[in-house]
Amino acid sequence: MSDNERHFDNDADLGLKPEFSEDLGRLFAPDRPIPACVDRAVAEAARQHFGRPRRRLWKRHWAVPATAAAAILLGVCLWWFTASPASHTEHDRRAQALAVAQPEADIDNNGKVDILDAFTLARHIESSLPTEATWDFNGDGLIDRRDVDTVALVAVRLDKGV
Amino acid sequence: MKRYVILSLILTGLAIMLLAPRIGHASRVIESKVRFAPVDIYLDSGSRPLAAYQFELKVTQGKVKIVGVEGGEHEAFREAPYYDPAALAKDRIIIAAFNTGQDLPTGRTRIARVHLQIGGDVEPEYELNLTVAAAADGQNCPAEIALERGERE
Repeated sequence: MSDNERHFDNDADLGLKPEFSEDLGRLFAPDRPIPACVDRAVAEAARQHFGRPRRRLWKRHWAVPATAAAAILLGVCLWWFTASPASHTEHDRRAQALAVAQPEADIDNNGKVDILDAFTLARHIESSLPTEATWDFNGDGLIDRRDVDTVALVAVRLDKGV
Repeated sequence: MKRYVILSLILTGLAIMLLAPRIGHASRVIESKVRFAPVDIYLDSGSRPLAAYQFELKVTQGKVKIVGVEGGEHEAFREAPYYDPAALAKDRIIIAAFNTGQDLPTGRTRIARVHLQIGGDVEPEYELNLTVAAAADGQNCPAEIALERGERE
């Protein structure tokens, strides 16, 4: 009988009569001594049996918070980047192109670019009046309504004043 | 199990730290008094047909953001006018439009409607500056610009 078994057999807290305890001990005690090698073999088998599933269980326990952490971080990153003004790059690029067009966009040569320059260009195009090569503001090889729009957008730009 | 709890607490704390400022900001926006209202811009060119206009609208008092721009009432200016998209969500905008057709408005006509988001209790004040009002020949003509407030919750 091992120490643990003896411990439980002699536990005074069970409140059993000594005679009853002795009877139980005799009834369930092994009929022959168990060799230490058998104890070791049982312990080893138990370790092999329960060892792997415990590792798997450990992995499973960590998989949940790891996945949750990844999801939270991904969500935060997505929110952060979608909330930030990502479209500014395109707008800045367009604004730069317009800034380049601004000096030549003064079609009526009154010293400022306003809607009258776009209006004048539109009238030239619609009336087939002669146009200048420098009026191709968007650089597509044509002088058309898109160039009129470019001039009009220069006219209403906030950073140019009125 | 302890490690699981500790890690969960750390992650939760991290998430709260990252999200709290935005959530707090969003809730402040909801809590503050915000209303939406249009302002109508009228131009009176007298007896001369109006072919082109350009003006600047500036908010001089109040917490106002421009959220949209609509065209005018006359067919010639029904389409949305030109404006800088960067003006949206700001308190200043330059608006312009023209029409090369023959059917042009005369007299007092609504040339544009600007939609605003107004926050706080201060009644907004605006400044209008007309820079171009031209007739069909492209020449500037005398005109008067005016603003009318609309209210919509």
